[in-house]
Amino acid sequence: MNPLGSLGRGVRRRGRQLGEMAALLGLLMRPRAYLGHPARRRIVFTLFRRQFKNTGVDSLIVTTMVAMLVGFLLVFLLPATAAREQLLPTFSELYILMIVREIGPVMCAMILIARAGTAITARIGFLKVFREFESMHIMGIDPVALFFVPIFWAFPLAMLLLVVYFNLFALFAAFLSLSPLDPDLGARTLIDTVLRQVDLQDLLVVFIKCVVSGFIIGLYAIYFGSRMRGRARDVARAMHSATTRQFIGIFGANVLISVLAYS
Amino acid sequence: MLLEVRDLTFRPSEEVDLRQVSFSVDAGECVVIRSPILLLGTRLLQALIGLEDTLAGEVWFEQHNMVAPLSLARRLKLRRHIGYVHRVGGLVSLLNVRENIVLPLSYHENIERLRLAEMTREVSQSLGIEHLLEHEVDELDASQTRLVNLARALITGPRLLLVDAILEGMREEQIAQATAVVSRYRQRYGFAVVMTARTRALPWATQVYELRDAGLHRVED
Repeated sequence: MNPLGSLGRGVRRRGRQLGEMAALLGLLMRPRAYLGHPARRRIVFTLFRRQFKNTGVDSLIVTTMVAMLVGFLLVFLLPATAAREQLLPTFSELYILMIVREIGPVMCAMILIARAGTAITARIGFLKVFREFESMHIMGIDPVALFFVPIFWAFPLAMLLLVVYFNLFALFAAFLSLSPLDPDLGARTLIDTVLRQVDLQDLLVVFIKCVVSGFIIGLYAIYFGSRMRGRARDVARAMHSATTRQFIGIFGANVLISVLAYS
Repeated sequence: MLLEVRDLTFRPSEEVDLRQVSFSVDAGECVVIRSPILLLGTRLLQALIGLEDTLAGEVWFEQHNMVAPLSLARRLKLRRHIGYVHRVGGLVSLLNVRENIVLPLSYHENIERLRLAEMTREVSQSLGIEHLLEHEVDELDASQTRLVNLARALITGPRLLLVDAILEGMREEQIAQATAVVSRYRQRYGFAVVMTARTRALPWATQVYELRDAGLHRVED
């Protein structure tokens, strides 16, 4: 076993994968193929709505639970670090820094991977196992334009929805936890204090994180599902490969965007 | 000549060994290919649309060789005038039955929603599957799946209909219904039919062939 040879083969395999993913991304970003035709557009939007519901809307319950736990936790950590009169400003600062900027986008991306990313990889894998791509090709239909595009674009949109939802419920949980500590605290005061701390750069950074994370999850889910060989046992392997890379991808991207934006 | 197959030879494998297959189909003709092993027939039909790894030969459909190395986009464009009826599967599980039936029409043509609904109703009523339109694909049994496949192929008004042994194992009334509907749509659109069969075939065949001894042989009935 030559370690240098193995390393070379590994690098070459990764390089080939990156090339294939870049080609797939190019196809998914080409709107003319699927939006230039009114009837085709109708199918794409139908599938997009269905996918958006499966991806985003159906993840709302788990997002609510996680967001509320994170909101409670943030307040639980507060008394040790802040005097009573500093409670609200300290909380707001921490909320923006931790929940809005950092934890929210990462948590939502993880929920999306667990709830929808793996499901999409498996679904596409089974389309391949049951030779449904082949039947689309027989009908003269390009599955990339028709089926992958709505799946791909549903992810960033679902990410945006989930992050907004996550932030709102974390704030709601924080309000419930802060109320016993400061009985005079009103919801309006809390919201005003938090909003004063948010600036345009924070919103832009969160937006970019959502879109980039959504693209990463969607691209890996489609790529690993569609490159399967068509055997049932490959489905689990494809899900495993996709999930691992999605996690690494979203953590890497989130850290990189934060570093670039705030350094 | 609508379809001409010249000396088509498959890459030999454990499943398929077919050599020098030749036949031709004129517009409106009905060709039946009897195959004791249904898989052989399936592979032959798939080769006609360029889905098989063939070693040699040509398949000419509307002045284009379907087995020549073509770009995917070109190949997809050529297949839009061919209706293919699968014996097993063939439907898209992301869509329900109604969406499956209108899929090729919606994709290739620009037809009003109302007209599409009307065409779907007509073909599904003829085949006795109108009660299945809102069902998911995995709720269908094997015969229903074949009938939905048939509805999807017929609604497009193809120039060539490839039918993969769908009558095998069907109930008599389903066979009668499917045969009558194919006949009616054939009169309307004038398409040619190439059908594989083991025991049950369309009754109005103009040519009958048999797959045996690794080749295709004409049967004079």
